Amino acid sequence: MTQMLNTKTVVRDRKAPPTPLGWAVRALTIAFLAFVIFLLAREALREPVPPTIVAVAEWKEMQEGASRDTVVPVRIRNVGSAPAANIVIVIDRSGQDAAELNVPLLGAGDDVTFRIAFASRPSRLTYDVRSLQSF
Amino acid sequence: MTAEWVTPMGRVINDEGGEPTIAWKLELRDLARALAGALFVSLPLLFTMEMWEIAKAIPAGVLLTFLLAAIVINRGFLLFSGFRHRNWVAGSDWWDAMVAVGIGAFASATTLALSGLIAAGTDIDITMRMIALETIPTSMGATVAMNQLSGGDSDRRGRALRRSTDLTVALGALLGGFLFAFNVAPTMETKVVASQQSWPLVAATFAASIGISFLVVHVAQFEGRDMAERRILTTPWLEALVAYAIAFALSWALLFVFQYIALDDPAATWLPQVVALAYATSLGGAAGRIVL
Repeated sequence: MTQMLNTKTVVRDRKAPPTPLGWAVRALTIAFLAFVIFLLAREALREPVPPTIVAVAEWKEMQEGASRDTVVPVRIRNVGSAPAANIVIVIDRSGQDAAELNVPLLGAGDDVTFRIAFASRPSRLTYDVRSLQSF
Repeated sequence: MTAEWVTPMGRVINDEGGEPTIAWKLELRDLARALAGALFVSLPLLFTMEMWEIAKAIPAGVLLTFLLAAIVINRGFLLFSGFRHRNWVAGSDWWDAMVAVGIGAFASATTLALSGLIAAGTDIDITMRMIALETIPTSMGATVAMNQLSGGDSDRRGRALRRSTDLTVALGALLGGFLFAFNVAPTMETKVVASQQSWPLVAATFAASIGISFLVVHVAQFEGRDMAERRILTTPWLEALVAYAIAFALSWALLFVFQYIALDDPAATWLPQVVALAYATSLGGAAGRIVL
């Protein structure tokens, strides 16, 4: 067995070039870098839109849950092309005290979801973005 | 003579000091080592909130430049380490640097996904920004592991040393400093430390950074120094001062990239932060000078 192995051995030490496995890793890396460069370059060249915060109630998610549930998932999203920090947003809770939400940071396209308890299930969401800090 | 670019998967290779091994198994082992290194070195940063937040807020151009600089830095590490003892073709260091970046991206994406920080519904720009930023330290971990987990690579080290001993010292200070500083620079701690310090403490930190750098490399004598081969950094104190200057510049650049300081900040704002970070950077630089 040892003799058989030796006859096939190529004495190359570790200067042998990569196998197809190694080349596959290199090709995937180049594809990843190309994609990142494309996204970042697109972002850098895009017409800047100031940070804009919108709040959307996830009605669909509610319908899939208990139909009488008054806890509403509210998604806060930055639809601008610049990040926003220290966001204060106030959600009207139809008769109850308003819910004040503080979000430390939302990147462009970033979102965060809060679950807010209402007195009764609201037909529409009313909110006010009190303050935010842009970069 | 034409260079060979691909080793057949089934070819048996003499891995020096070990048993002959089938090529694909050897390659897989190298990749596994790099993945382990990526996670060993960078897991704390993958679980650092500031890294996730900086990824969302950093300007696209700065992140892109930083990512491309990381490929160059990885290639710098590969002057001293790497998968193979000799280049299999001219410029193969760059190809190996790409492997490190790929492994780093894989380690980052997997950990962020397992942590629930990125998911199918996450905005693609946010996802790629987080992976790209985390890839910078994880790829460096992968590169270091290629050397350290395979027991060192004296051939490459010799090749690097032949370039210039002075340059090797400077490179060691830069690469070691970068590796250390990256674990501290993205966090709020530098800013907090700087805010706690009076000016005498800032001055003491400055002096201690140079003193400890000198102490670690020259007084503790972890390794015999090669002063006779040098042309510029001919005395231990000069080496410590130049290494500190490199650490200081590197610290400033990292704090700028991570948006803790800006170009128009007054010196009273940025100087204490840079001095505080340079304490860690110069220690990393000292480690780099010992290792290289």
